[in-house]
Amino acid sequence: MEASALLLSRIQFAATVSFHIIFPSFTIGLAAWLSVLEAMRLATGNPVYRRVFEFWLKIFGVAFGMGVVSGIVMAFQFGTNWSELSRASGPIQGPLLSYESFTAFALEATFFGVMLFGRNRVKPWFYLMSCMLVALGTTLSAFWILVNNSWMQHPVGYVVQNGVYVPTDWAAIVFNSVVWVRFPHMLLAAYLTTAFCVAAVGAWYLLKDTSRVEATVMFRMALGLAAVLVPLQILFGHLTGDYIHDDQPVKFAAVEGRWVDEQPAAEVIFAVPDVKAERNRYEWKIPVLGSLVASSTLDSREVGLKDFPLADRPPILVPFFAFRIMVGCGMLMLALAWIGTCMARRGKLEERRWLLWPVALSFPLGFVAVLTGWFTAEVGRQPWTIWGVLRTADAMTPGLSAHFALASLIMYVLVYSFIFCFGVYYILRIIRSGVFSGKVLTVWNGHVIAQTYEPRLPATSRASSSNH
Amino acid sequence: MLDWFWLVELAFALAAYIVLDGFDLGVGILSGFAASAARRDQMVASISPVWDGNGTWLVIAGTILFGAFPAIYSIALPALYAPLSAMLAGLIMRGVAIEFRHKAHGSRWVWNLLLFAGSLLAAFAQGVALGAYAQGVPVENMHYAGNGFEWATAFPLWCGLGAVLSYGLLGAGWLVLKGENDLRQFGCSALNRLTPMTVLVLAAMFAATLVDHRVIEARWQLHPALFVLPLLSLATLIGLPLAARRGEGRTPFVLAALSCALLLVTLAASYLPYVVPFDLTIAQAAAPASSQTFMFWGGGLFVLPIIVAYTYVAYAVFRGRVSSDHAYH
Repeated sequence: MEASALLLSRIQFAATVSFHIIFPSFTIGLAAWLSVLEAMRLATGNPVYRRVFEFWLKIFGVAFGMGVVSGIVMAFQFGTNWSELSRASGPIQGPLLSYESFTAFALEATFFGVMLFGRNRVKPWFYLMSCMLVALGTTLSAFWILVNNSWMQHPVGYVVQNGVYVPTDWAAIVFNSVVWVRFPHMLLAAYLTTAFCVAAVGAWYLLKDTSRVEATVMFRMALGLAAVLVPLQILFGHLTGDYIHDDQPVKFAAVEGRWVDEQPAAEVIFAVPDVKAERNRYEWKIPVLGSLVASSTLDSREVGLKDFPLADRPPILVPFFAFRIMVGCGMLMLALAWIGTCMARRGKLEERRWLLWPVALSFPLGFVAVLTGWFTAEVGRQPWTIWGVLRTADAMTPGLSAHFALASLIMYVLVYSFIFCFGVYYILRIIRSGVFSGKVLTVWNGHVIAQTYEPRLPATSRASSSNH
Repeated sequence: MLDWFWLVELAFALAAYIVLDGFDLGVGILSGFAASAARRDQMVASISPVWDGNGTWLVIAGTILFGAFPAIYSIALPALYAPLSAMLAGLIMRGVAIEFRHKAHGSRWVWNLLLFAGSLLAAFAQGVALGAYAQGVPVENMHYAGNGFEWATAFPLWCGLGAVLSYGLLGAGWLVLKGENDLRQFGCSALNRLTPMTVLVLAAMFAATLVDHRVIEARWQLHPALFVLPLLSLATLIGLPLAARRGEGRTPFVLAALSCALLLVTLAASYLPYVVPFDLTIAQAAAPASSQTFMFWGGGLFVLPIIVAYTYVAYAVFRGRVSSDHAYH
């Protein structure tokens, strides 16, 4: 009974948090990019930016709403399913989450209303400021969540009194080095996720030979940004790996698929770890590279999984494969961003269909990388909820009945699947109906000719058509 | 000292939530009785720009509870597992319904239904949760020790009804404030119908509390001055339809908000210093001083007033009535 309530609670948290992260990782970047577009339009007066802005604002509206409603569930689950965690670490995680709601959640939700509905009611500078405040809110939200999660990975600045973690050094909790490699890593991941969605839509319009000007703006801005950010992201990914190597050696060994100590260590590129036999099958590895990656030396000794008791090892398969999928997505993004940017500089994008097709299909890359990255971090943290301090089995609500856990899990899965299907459907419909929301006369040579002249109609029918 | 600061701030966040999300949940409930598509569109238009910010106050209140009083959080949330899960499902459904309904063509009826059902479910579940909490949950050694079904008794369910009616009143007051002609009429007639029912249900809740809990009864007998609070609340409720009949735009909503705030104060006066009824006092439930201090010097002292200020700004942007030619996209 206990074990199954534990398993169900873990599945529920994993399912809801995975569903939730899809939306912020898209909207954090989109909010920032919309602010840039609005600022560029104000500075240049170029109506192309305005059209691209209005188009992506519609998608932002759908995605942001789903992110907000799915996010409310997270904080409540700490209490309902993980009450031992919230009792013990509430004095630390509670204030961090309250800072999130105070500085971020309220800000983005309030000005989101202005962004969506207030264009004609406020001055242009106020509108731009609203966009920037929404972007600031989403960024701060990510910051506090990463501070919170980093404390669970790397608990510092506290003492234990009567089974409760009492904070003693907030500066250490908020400003430790782990936060400051993981927060940029997440922020860059979000920007890249958005960039590849934007580039994919631009590429798709170019393939369809419609809205060529707007599509080119999307393609060039998105891939140009990605060309700079992917290398930066690889750097921060490496720094994140450094902290895991130093702080969580068993997680590092699981990610590397290393069973026994090696000196110098090899890097496993691909394998199928056999957990029972405690060895890898179908292994393909490169000698010495493991030491180079882990310690930046050619002869360092790297520890293997067998050094740790079974009870302290994470599940091996999930971190091992998730990490490789994440890195693979990163490499694909790097290739697409660099080749795409080079080609975009040479012009005539609409004729390079060999490039447009892969870019148009690249929109899932960012999402897959974000999800697998978090799987690596979170599953790799097991069997601990707070690393080295509180085991997941001890964090659960004592006496939680499996019936409650099962009922709520089924309910969340049903509700989330329902809204996810409709959300995706509406986003696809916005994309299909094109950049121009008004009447389109014709498409000529890749340019949309919009109907700007409204023929005189009798008063009644004009009213009904403007309501549309 | 900081315990009380955070209790007051928690009460403020809760009051803000009940008044603000209360009216948009109420409008959602009333939208089920709109009878015409045009009227329903206007009702949704009156809450579209602000519902998201309103809902935030629930998260603010929840995280204050988590940070400043983690003991309450770890006892109350497992005890209220079922009603809170239902509330979250309701909030999710009606949230996406507001976002999606203007994107839908053929399936708009689905979102209209979900807007109504989700708002109703969320309001009812909040009332049930509050009632179950107020009636007291079994606690042993700082842990919740019940079977998870304490909410399934008459009193909490009755409180659920009370919440639905109170939110309905707030929503009707909002429609009188924001609507023109037809919508305003609709709001007025909703006020007239809802007020007597609400008075009855709330009075029964109050009486049941006094009868059920000797401790509270003793307190009220010791301090008869406290009876001013429910009487004032009653007076504001009765004033609601009267103000609406005199054609005042703002007064009904203000009165409805005031009566909700008075109810919250009544609740506080009945229980304090107990924060988990008759098991934990505020001092026992408080987080360590270092946690409350950290929250105080940033969030509590500076950020919360800033939130209030920009919430006011956002409402000012959307001031004025929602008219039929109002273009929400």
